[in-house]
Amino acid sequence: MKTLGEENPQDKDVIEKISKNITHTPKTVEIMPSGIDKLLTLNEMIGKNMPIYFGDANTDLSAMKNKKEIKANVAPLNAENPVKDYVKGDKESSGFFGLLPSQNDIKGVNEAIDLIYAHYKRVERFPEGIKK
Amino acid sequence: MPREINSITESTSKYLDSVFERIKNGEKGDLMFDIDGVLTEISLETAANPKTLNAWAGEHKEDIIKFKNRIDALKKTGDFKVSICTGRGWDYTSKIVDVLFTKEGLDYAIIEGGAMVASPRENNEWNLRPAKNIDQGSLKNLEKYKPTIIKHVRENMGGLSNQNR
Repeated sequence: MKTLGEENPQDKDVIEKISKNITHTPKTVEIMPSGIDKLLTLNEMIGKNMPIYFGDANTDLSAMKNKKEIKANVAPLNAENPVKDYVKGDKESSGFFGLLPSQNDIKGVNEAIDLIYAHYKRVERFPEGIKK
Repeated sequence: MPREINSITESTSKYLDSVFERIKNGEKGDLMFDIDGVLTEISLETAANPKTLNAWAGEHKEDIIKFKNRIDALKKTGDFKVSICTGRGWDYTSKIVDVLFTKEGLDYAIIEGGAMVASPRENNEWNLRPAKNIDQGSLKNLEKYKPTIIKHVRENMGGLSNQNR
């Protein structure tokens, strides 16, 4: 297999630099400009707000480890083990909040939002009757 | 103590209180969702999982209604923003927005792994812009060599999903 630079000798340096930004898993291929990371853009967008991040994959870990003093994260049951381990957190650490729902993807998300809503509104559970 | 989801343990309550205390002190909560494996089944509409978003949505009608109701209720408090953070491009993410969110349910989306940001404009349209931290030289090189790179991925790295991610 030829490398990208070998196939295009006239632009070898630039192309080899770009090829370092190609990552792949058994299921996906991602090509990024250098320096791009969810965390950098997340920090740009959240400003002073307090993120509660819902993620499942190793690629979410940088965003979960954001700049805020309190790390608030949720990982559904189907999340990759390193993510669940991170969300479980250091039991002795202050400023760390994590939830591990008992169900997969959207069902787990709904489960977590139920808890967040109920605690925020000081009610026992989410009132299903609410419609917009 | 592990934070158990189905009951508000003492430690869960403590941490939620610290989050909410920040919110009540002028910060907003920002509920930020990855898409694949979080809001939906993983890798829909890719070579790895050809199931369509619409087919998935048909199987999860009740979950989607519950999700929309919860998001709208939290947004109604005025204390929460809602966003998406994904490696997917806008073509797919915009379909997620249509299926999973009501008209004003989503405040912004970080897409393409942080390279782009989508924000709502009037008339149900969205504004797309590169993230501020993106290196412009690197972006131009990527655009210039995109066909070469895609060809390389197709021929030497085992193919490419139907999204040019």
